[in-house]
Parts: sequence; C-alpha cells; structure tokens
Amino acid sequence: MGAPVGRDLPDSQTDVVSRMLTRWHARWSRLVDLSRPSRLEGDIDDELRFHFDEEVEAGLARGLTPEAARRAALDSLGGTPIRLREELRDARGVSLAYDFRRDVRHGVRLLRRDTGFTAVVLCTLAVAIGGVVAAFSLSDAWLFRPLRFPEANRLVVAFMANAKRPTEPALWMPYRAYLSWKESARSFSSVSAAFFRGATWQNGSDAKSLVGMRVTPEFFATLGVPAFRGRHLSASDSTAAPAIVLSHGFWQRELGGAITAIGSTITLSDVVYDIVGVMPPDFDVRLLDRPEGAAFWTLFRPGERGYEPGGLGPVTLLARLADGVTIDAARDEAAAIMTEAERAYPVNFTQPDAAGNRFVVNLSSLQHDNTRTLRATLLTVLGAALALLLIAAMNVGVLLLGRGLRRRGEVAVRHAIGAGRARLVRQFLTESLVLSAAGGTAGVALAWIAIRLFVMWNPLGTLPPDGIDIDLRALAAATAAMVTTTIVAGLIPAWRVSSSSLGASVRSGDGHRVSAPAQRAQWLMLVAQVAMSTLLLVCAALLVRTVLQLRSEPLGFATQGVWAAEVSLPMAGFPTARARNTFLERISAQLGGRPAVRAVAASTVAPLTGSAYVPVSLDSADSAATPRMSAPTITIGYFEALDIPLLAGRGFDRRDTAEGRPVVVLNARAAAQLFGGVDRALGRRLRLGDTTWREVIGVVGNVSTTFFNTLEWRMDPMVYRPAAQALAAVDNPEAAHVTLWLHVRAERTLVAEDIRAAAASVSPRAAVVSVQPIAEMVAAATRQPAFRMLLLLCFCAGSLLLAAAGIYGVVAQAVGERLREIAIRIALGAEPRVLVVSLVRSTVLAGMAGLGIGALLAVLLARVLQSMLYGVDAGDAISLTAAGLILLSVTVVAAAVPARRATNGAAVHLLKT
Amino acid sequence: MSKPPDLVQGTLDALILQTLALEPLHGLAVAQRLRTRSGDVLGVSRGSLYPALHKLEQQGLLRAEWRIAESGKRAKYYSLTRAGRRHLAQEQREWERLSAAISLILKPT
Repeated sequence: MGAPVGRDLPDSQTDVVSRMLTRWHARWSRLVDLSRPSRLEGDIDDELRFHFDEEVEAGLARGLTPEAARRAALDSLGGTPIRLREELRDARGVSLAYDFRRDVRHGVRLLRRDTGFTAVVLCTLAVAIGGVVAAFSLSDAWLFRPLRFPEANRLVVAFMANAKRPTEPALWMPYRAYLSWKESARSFSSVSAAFFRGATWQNGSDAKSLVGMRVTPEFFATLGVPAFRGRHLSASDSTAAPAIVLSHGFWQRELGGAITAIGSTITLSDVVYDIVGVMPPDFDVRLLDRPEGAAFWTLFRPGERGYEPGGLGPVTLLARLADGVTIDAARDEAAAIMTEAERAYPVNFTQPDAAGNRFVVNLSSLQHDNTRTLRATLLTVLGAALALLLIAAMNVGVLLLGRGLRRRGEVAVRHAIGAGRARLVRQFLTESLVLSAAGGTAGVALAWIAIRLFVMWNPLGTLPPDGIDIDLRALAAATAAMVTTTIVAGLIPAWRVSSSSLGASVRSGDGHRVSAPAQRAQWLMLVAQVAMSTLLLVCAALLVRTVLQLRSEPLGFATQGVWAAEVSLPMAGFPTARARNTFLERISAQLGGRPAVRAVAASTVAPLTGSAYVPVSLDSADSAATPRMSAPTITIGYFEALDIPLLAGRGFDRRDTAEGRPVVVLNARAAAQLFGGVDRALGRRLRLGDTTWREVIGVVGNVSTTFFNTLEWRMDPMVYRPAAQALAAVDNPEAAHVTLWLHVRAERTLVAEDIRAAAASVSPRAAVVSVQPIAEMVAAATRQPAFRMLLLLCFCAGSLLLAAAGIYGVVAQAVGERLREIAIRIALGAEPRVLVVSLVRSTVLAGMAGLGIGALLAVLLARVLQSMLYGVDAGDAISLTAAGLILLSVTVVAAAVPARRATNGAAVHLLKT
Repeated sequence: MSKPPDLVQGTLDALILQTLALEPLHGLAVAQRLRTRSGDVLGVSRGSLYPALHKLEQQGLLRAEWRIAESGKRAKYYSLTRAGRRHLAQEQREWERLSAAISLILKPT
C-alpha cells in the first residue's frame, strides 16, 4: 500500500520533502495554466466532452432516444458543462487571474453603459490626482529638491533683518561683517561676500542690461563648483587687470560658446575685462528670489567705495556651514561676532535707528532665500490641492456608495445563483481598480499638461533653476489615496449585501432601500465635503479681498499712460555730473518736443522703489538716532510728469542750479516726521549725511513703493534732490542708471524704438536698457497675490462643483428609492412643496453642519494666511458671509433640483407602473 | 439550484485515490468504478467528481496525461503520484482508526 515510508529518513523529514515537491508542482502547474489559459480551457472542454460523448453513446447503445441519452449524459456529468468548467477553474486556483480579466471586462462594460456616472467619477479622480501631482511637483522643484551644489543644504546666506520681523531681510550686510566673520567665525567652513552688479553689454547697436555679481575670491570655493572652462577668480586678480568669469548661458548666447573667448577680453559698461573662465551650465546662483542667476562674476576692486576694511558697502554673505553645525548655532555665533566687531565703530548696527528699529542677523539656507516670496504661494497651492483631493475622495466615495447601493439587485441575483462573498468582493474590487487606474492615468496626463502650461505661461515670472518634473512620490501618494477611497467605497455595498442573509433583499419587495450605516457614511462624507469647500472658499474670498485692496489703493502718482525707460550711462562716457545732466536735459528736450509726449522727466530711482537711505539731520552732528530716508534725485518737471500733487511751496525749476542755493523737496510723510507738518517744513534746513545745508522749498504728496518681498504698499518718507545739484554721487562706479519717465498723451502712442533712437541721437554711448509701462509694473508687483487668488478661485470652483455633484447624487438616489412612496403621498393629496422640504431636509442639514465646521476651521486656519493678506483680517466677516451664502445656495439648489423633479414626475410614474 | 448533499469532502478524495491506486483511469471510468463498487449506495455526488480530480491534481496527489481510450478517443487519464500514494496510506490508517473506534462504540460487547 503506497510507497515504502521512510527508508532511511525519519518520517517527518520525508514529509517535508514531499510537501515541498507538492507545493512546487502546484505552483508550476498554476503557472502553466495561467500563461496558456486557452489551452487549459481546451483541456477542460475536451475532458468533459469525452465524458459526455461516451455516456451519450452508452445511452444510445442501451436503446435510449438521442434526447434521453443526452439528458442522461448531462446527469452523469452532474451539471451543465459551463457550470462545471467554472468549478474546475476554481479548483485549479486559476480563477483569480481569470476572474480578474473577466471582471475588468465586465467593469469596463458597466462603466461605459453608465456614461454620466463614469464621466463624473473619472473627472473627479483626474482633477484631484492631477492637481495634487502638479502642485507637489511645482513645490518640489523649488522648495524640496536640493539645489545643484555639492551638499547644498549647508549653503547659507545672510542679511540684516528688522528685529520685529527677523525672518525677512530688510538690509544688506555691511562689507565689514564679511571681514569679521571670515576672521573669527568657526561655524562656517568658508565665507564669501557677493553683491549684484548691473552692466550694459553693447553688441553692435543693441544694448542689453546684464545682472552680474561682484564677489570675493572665496565665492566659487564656497559653492564647491569647479569652472567649466578656464578657471575661477583668485585673490591675485583683484590687483591685476580686471578679470571676469562668465555664466555658461551668456557664453553660449552672446559669444557663441567659442573656446577662444577664454583668454580674450570683453567690454561691459565701457570696462575691459579679461575672460578667465566659464562656469558649468547648471551653475545658477540666485539671490533674493531673482528669477535668474548672474550672467557674470567679477571681484570687488580695491578702491571701490565701501568695500575696504571697515566699509559699509552692501553685500550678502554666502557661506558654507562647517560639519555638524546647525543653522541656528551658526546664526548665534555670527551675530555675536558681528555685535563684538561693530562696537569698534561710533555709528553701528547694534544701535536702533531713529524709528526705534533694531537689526539682527538673518541667516537662511540658500534654497530658502531663493523662494522667499514663492514659498507662501506654493504652499497655498499645495494646501488647496490637498483640500481638493480630500473633497474629491469624499465625492467619489459618495458616488460609488450610491452606485453600489443601487446595484443591490444585481448583487443579490449574483449571490443567489452561487457567487460567494469573496467572489463578489473581488468583482467590486476589480471595478474600483479599473476606475482608479483610468482616473490615475488621466490625472497624470492632466498634471503633465498643467506643468507644461505653467512653464509656458510662467505666471510667477520665475521658473526653478532645474526645471519641473512630475513628482513620482506625489503621484504614488495621490493615487494611493484615491484607490483606497474607491476600493473602500466600492466594497462596502458588496460586503453588506453578501453578509446580509440571502432572503433579505428578495423578501423586501423593493429590495433597494439603503441601509442605515451606509446612509450615515454618505451623510458624514457630505459634511466633510462641505466643510472643506467652505474652508477653501473663505481663503479664496480673503485673497480676493487682498488683491482688490492692493489694486484699488491709490499709489499717489499717475499709472496710466506713463512709461519708464531705464537708461545706462557708462562712467567712461559720462564722467561728470555735468555730462550726465547735459544728457538728461538734451534727451528730455528731444522727447518732450514730440507731439505724443505730454511730459518727460528723469530720476535716479527705478519705478516703484525708493532710493538708498541717507541720514537726514536737522542739526550739525550725526548720531545713531539720525533718521535715514530715501533721497531720490529728480529733474525739473518730475512731479508734473507723474501727477504728484504739490502741497506747499514749489517744485524744482531753473533757479536750482549747481551753483545756486542747495534745496530739497519733501513728501508729506517726511515733512510730518521731520517738522511735524506740511506747513512747518517750508524754509527749514537739513543735511543729507554731508556738510551741506539744504533748504526745504516745497512739499509734495506721498507715493507708494514696494519692498522686494513684502506684500504691501509703503508710503515712506522721501527727500527729493534736484539733479542739477546731486548727480555727482553715484553708487555704481561703472555706470549711472537713470529712469526716464514719459507721460504719453492718451490718443497717441510711443514705441520703445522712438526712445532708443532719441537716446542714440543724443549720445551713442547711452544705452536704453528697458522700456515698460508703469501699469504693467504695478501689475507685476501684485502678481504673486493675484496668482494665488486665481489658483485658489480655480480650486474653489472645482470643489464647489464636486460638492454640488455629491449633494445632487445623494438626494437623487434617496428620491429614486422613495419614488413609489412619493407618488402615493401625492395621490393622497400631499403638498409637493412639503414633500420636497422633507426630502432635502437631511441633506441641507448636512450642508449646514459642514458649513459650520468649515467656517470654524477657516477662522482657525486663516491665520496661516495672514502674511499673504493685505488690508483684510483673517477673521474677515465679509469673506465668511460671502463664502457661507455661496455654499448654502449651492447646497440648497443641488438638493432641491432632483427632489422637485421627483415630485413633478412621481404621479406619472405611478400611473405607468 | 442547490448542489446534491456532498460526501464528506475527505471521503470522496480518499475514494478517488483508492480507485486510482490500482491503475490509471479517465474521469468517466472513475465515476463508473465508484458507482459499481459502492453499489450505488454513495450515489457518487455527480458534479463533484471532476472538481475533486482537478483539485487533487493541483495538490500534486494525482498526475494527468492524455491517452487514447478503448473507444479510440483522446481521454485524460489520472494516476497516483508518490505523494498521492502516501496520502492514501495515511487516509486509510485514519479511516481504520476511526472505524475501529466507531465499531467499539456501536457493537454490543
């Protein structure tokens, strides 16, 4: 009987071996079956066929009629071949894979039949997954992915910040801080200093404005990137002939990437440099949110004002943290060193300024520095996308749950003809997977398109240095979230139906009534959905109010029809203040004589910004308490050209010459701060950091300026100086940048070419670097908040749509179930209006509960938004009310539409059935 | 449509293995042997034979091959594997123990 047991081996050991063999055999045969399902199918059919044929023949031999023989054969088989085949497949365990394929087909068929439902769910899934993936990919490109420098997380940059807002840079560091840190700071393995340097690149008749950097020799070593061609700048270059390192982009674009360029010379702003090297293509050092890196790097030259020992020349310090030093520890040490070093100077950064502001060291990672204004926008978008994902998940859940419950009939039938719970669950699972797979694919496509559009449109005016890729982690996470939802919501009905006793759904005549727990789940999802929508809507409303506020605030000067042209005057061509003034006078006369130009003037400040601060003192000695104010230099006619109102006294005119009495004009804010009022300022005298006393001859209205990374219009005190008396001092030793302001008549146009031609005709050495309408620059200043607002509005629209779809779906389904009851009630004389109310009551209650929760969340969470708001409070009642009203009406309408339709059509339905 | 009351699952398996212990047979022959040998008492659960055969094959207790039957048609023949023989021996021991125990109880002493 059987094989001899355990010849040499103990019994248990043979068992183990045989079990292993058995398992292997089982696995192998399943594998064969799986890879060739059709062959298996054929085998089973052949086997059954053989049995059937033999029995039929035997029956015929026994003298049965063909019909009877066939019946006998089937009886002997014990069932129809189809059913048997199914059971055999089950016995072989291939049914999992086989069923899966069949379920996929079944699922696709069902989904295609139910077009409306499928479209809604797919769109929801696609929008949610696409939104999250796009938002996260964008954030990742700027905020999370390390910059392309060796150990980039250890690169830090330093500025001075107001102690009241220690995380926002307010001032550049003084050059002498670089010297003291370099000498004593142990937190850094390397310290360098850098500052922007504008230059004009004259290529034939075409002048381009370049932004480069002046750096100290350690700059490249600190970043740890070798030169692409040639070499870095070294300390010995600072005393030799001027040397320059070019960016790869500039080298390629302007010099054609010629290797011979290295070792040759280049002239920028009339200064001749030796080209010693080119940096690699991905070397992109940005400071302070600038949209692009520098085009070139040169050294600070000896003799540059402010860049000598003890000098106050503005720089940022770019340093590399030493091993194991945290940024906080480094900040503490660096601040202590600076405080100590500053004590050596009578006027220093340890003292508060006139307004009582103290300054502290602001040290942040280079990556953080590059995303100061973007961070808030990106995080807003990310938050909104996550909220949308949550809403979408709820929505898909509500819809799938409802659909599953509607399919109770189908499920009950399948259960009745022999499908087990596991089989049913598997089928629903497959359908859910089909749905999420399709939705996920569409989502990825959507994210890809969104990212491409973002790059093309470039709404923030800046793109990350390393491009934007679809982030696979976000894709995985978002897809997992949606798949979980679809699976859970898809399975609940299968689970519930198959766990309830078979007869239940057959017994209850309608067999479609939704069970209480499922209804409760739907209700909860609705509440959550409305709550999230409320939150989004409130945030969007706050941002809308912010943008409206920013746009409506009077700026104090004309924005319509005013153009600003930036002109670079190289020192070599315009060595004296007289030469520059002559140029300004001539070009003003040239342009002012044109019929299109109403007025023209020039100033030393760029549009919408203040100038460098100068100390303004009313007595003969400067002290730490001396206020510092913006002191732009302007030509005659500036106030008229910009429609800045004269409040007292007079503006500058021909009397205010270089030889005449030194004079200034204050704005109202400066007059109030210095002399206590507009009227008291006239005739008073002040000094601007030198020994010259200047008389106040007029007071004008305030104008708004922006500060580079704060969201607000500032009305700073300003002291205006006439160009004739003040063009001597120039910050940039190589070129003076002036802005021409042209007020163009409404019915006429002026093109940039006219301005360039005029400048060239006055002096070929002057370069018009840019021409822009002021209105556009104002729009650019509010670009980030406007973009945030736009995005949040989009997300809000999406979430409202989803919420409305969810509410509509739930009510429509509830109504569908009770159609018969509604019809009977109406036949018995029930008021349709009352019926509608009773039908939508629970849904509207869910909406209101969600509204309450959402409003509460909004009040709590909107504080996070505070830094993005302007002129509106986080708890703003108008925004809350607006959001509440919108949501309430959406809820009521979405609920009432299907209910009304039911009460209108119910009688007809009853008559028909 | 409900299935005919099943034999105890293990019992059918043991009967099939026992039937195939002597010689390889195709499904129809197994069914006929079972019917004749049990004298129709067990009424061999029609419809459960083939699933049982396939399951046993899947478990590695049976192996199957296609041969030409006496009628000249292709038929699927099942035979015992080594594991199948061992399994059968075990089943028989179990059965003997069980039936001995039952007869001890049922037989008046």
